Amino acid sequence: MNAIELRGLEKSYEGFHLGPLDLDLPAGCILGLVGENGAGKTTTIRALLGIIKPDGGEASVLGAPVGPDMRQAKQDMGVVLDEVGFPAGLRAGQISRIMAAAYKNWDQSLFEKYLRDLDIPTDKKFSALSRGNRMKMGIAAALSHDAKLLILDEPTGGLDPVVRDEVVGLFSDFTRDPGHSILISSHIVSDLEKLCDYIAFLHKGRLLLCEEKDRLLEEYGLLQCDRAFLAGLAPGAVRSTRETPYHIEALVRRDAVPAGTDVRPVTIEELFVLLVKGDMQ
Amino acid sequence: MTIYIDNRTGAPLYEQICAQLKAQIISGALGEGEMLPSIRSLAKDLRISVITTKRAYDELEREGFIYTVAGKGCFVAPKNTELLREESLKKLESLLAEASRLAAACGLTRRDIVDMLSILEGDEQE
Amino acid sequence: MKALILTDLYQLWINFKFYAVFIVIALGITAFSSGDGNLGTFFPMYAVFMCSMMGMSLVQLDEASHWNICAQALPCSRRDQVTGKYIVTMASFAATWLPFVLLYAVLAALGRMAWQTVAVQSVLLLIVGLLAPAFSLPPLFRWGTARGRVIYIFLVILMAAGIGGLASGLATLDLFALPALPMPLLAVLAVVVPAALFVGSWALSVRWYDKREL
Repeated sequence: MNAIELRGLEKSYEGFHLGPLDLDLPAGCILGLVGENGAGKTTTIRALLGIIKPDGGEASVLGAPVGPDMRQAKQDMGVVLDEVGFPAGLRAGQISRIMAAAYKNWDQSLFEKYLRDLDIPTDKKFSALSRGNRMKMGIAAALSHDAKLLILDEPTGGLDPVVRDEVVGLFSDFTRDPGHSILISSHIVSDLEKLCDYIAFLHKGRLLLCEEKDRLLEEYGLLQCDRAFLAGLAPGAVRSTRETPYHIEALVRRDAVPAGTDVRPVTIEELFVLLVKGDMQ
Repeated sequence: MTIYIDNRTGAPLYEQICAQLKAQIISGALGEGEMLPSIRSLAKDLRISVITTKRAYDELEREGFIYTVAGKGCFVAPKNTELLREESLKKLESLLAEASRLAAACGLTRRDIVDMLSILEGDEQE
Repeated sequence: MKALILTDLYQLWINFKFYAVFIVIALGITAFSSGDGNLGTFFPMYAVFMCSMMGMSLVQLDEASHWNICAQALPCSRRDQVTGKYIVTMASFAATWLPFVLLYAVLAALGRMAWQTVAVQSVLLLIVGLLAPAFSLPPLFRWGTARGRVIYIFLVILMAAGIGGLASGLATLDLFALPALPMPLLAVLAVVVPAALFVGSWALSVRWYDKREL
């Protein structure tokens, strides 16, 4: 079963059009949604939660269609949005009581454990917390009610590298259970590099690709060469290029270049930037 | 069990895992019937994708090095001399292919290679 | 929905504690003026009006903190979100209206207020307390705080003028002199109509909020 299914999802705003999107998140996997600001990541996630209504297409979450009544599905969903919106004056204790009232499987001791492990102050009002702490609070809450699916929109924004590593570790541990899945969007691609099973590139509302992350890294490589060498390569070998004063950086398909060519491994970040900003071949 | 992951060589991760586990099984570091870590726990502990560890295990199973018991896990298969010989032959083949490529790059003929081999074997016999 | 109501109660406690003080003062002034005259009419009216508008303040607070968006991730429907606000509105209305009605009853028992005035004042407060949110909540759910606020101000002016006129008119009217409408029927209508409008408002809010994009 797929944890998330998108079929032709579309949404239009003035000056921006998302979709049609076709996307699947198989159960037990982590899908990373990569895209620049305004690419449509948040729009996609909001459509999944019913915050906005799509103009076209269908979506389903944990087998339930996205529609007016998703209460049952949402019991099993842990969500962290780009802005964690607990009311300003609430403290951790009050927040946990609200969550306990909302979720059948709320685990108070687990929540407290996360508060301790992530070093979140429990005596301060929510509005007095730093952005990072607010994010961590949202993450702690999302992980404390036995969710089967995590939907995370830029969950590491405002966190320092050490905490980001910790948090990414928590997400990774979440999927030790084969029934647990994650949809995570971020423009901090390095966080997604280690974490994800699948990577989807979103650019200006369109899905550039959605593939197994490791296969992408096997398929593509970076080549630094000169124009002459580039011209000698087989057609279709080069996906995109970027020119510097001293050489040309080419995104190539490894199996399409001659054996022995010095092809460097490419990171997901470089792959994305080259596909979006490079000169497409 | 020790496994090293190198993101920088460009060698596919599943091949790296496969090769290392194979070597450990052949050498006996991983004994017959020993249970391997689950696909998921291996992936999470190495911080790589489960799809990759699954691919590595599938490959090992296909080549007869491990077997899966549904609901229990993956175990090291009994040592198969035929399999080991097969493995050594494959390795020999790939080494020869690489030697051939290098020789071609240097402009050496087959004659030169055979001479080189004779010299080397001569050294060994002494 | 429990979680949403709990959140609202916390919000009331954190942000509007001082209203309780105001209600006590209003009760005091009303007692002092025996529920008569401008003071005796204005303060109860304003207290009930303010408290019945709690729902609106809560919606505004939700928008300010983005809780209105984050609540969408919780296992509650749009309908739950609307119903929660209406329930809290009912509760804060009742928490204001009942003390005043009790006060009136006490004053009447002490002979400082006429029972008829008690009835009229209570009903007037009921009408204000139910109609104010009934009219202001649906636009808020449909258009949000920014535009809803304009409607709110418009309503305050309307209500103040209307209720002021109605209050002075009815208080001096001898109800037994109206042959066309027997008092029991009038009393029943005066309660049932606002209540029906309140429920209708809830249904409309649910319908509008169901379609709303956040």
